[in-house]
Amino acid sequence: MSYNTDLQSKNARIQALIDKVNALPEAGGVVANAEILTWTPTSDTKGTVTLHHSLGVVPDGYVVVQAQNYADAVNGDSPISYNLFDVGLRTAYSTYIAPCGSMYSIVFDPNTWYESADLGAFVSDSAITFGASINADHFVYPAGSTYNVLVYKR
Amino acid sequence: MEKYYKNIDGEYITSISTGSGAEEITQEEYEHILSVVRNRPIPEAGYDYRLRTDLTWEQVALPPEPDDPEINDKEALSIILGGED
Repeated sequence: MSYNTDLQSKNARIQALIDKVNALPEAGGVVANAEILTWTPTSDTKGTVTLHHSLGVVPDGYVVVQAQNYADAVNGDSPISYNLFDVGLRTAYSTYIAPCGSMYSIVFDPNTWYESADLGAFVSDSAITFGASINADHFVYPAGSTYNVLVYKR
Repeated sequence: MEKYYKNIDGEYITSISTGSGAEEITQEEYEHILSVVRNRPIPEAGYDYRLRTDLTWEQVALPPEPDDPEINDKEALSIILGGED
């Protein structure tokens, strides 16, 4: 299976989840209600970088994480993993091959565990505190490039 | 309201961020640091620049690339079959 085929398949499923969040009566559009975190390295940075941000208690909500792979200008298409984790160290994650310049979004639904390894979420058995991170290995984040993590919670 | 941050490691500003970060700064300071970063000198091969907290650049030597010796087909087969040279 080529990356492109895999990419299209995942994008379709991810878009379906985003549409699901947007369709929520109280959502009013993901972007309009989103909290956007950005990170800009001051020097060329190699390895894993984590944007850690406490989203507070989210007893019932969705979290949308969006990031753009800028790093391909240095080392080609690269794997990026997205992680959400709570204080109990339960982790939901997505690992993804991001093409050059691509924007990638994922929706974490805290009420559901997805069987697929590339879409995950917490079981919402109680109030959960989320963290969001973007990790990427094996390439360079160029100085001055900006990475966005878009977070929406219902 | 957007919040702006700088993230410091020792004497260096390693990154700036919005929404989450270590030390909150004003939007003006954020934009100034961003401007400095986007106008940093181009490093020579084998070097990089790190941004000091006083917003001056310090040239640093990059660590050497790890050796990645290639092996020929005979050596690879030897390893697969038991590791004898």
